[in-house]
Amino acid sequence: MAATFEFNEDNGTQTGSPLKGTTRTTAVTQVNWKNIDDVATAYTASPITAGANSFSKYTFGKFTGTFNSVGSGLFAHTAGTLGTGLTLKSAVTTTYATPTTTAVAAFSTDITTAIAITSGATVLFSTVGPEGASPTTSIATAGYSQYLGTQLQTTGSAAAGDIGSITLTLRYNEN
Amino acid sequence: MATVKLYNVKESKLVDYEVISENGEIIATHKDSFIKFPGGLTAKQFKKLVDEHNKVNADQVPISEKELKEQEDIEAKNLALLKSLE
Repeated sequence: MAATFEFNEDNGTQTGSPLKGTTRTTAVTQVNWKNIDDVATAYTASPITAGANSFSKYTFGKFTGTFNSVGSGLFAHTAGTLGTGLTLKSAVTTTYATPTTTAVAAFSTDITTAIAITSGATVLFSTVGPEGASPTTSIATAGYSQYLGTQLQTTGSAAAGDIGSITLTLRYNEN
Repeated sequence: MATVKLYNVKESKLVDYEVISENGEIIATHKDSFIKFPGGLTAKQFKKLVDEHNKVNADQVPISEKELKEQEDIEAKNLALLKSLE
């Protein structure tokens, strides 16, 4: 048997202990940075004003089904380029904070430049949730990656219109 | 002009960024790249974030312009193929 994978995203006010989003959306197929904290709204309906930042995003991987082990997680921007006036910040974390358009200090990794996935950020896993307090390097039953936090930041020199598509990779080994 | 040394992933080294205050944030710029920091920080808090930035970004290995171009060419060919199959 193989693990079944899908991306999920948390949104809304931080709640619970450990903290997670009020809303959890399953089977997410895109990450569009925009001026609203949700999955569903079209990015065209909530554009980011040049000079401002997107709401922070908390995406994560969900693994179901039967498998021996899922582990060795890495996360990185691996293809595509961002234009002038755009910076993409990130953090792999168990700490969910209510999404904000303020520059998130905790997102200290600059993933604006595409890099080799082998030099990406280490991702841990938990059977509790992305917010699980003691994530491990691998899981043997259904579970989650840590949060893959991202925020698109802009300056006034950002061009109007859509940014180009980029590829963010969550790599893991399964056996 | 205030400057701060920050690790630049594209150049794979510490470089001087010019630092300004704009829209309530601290923005450090170098050529076409910038790093934002929240506003209202003390010097100690700012140094901590700079140190953290320089620590967590130093191990990234950027993909070369040539490799990026190759990726884009492959993607364009894939999309063209899919379009031809529609």
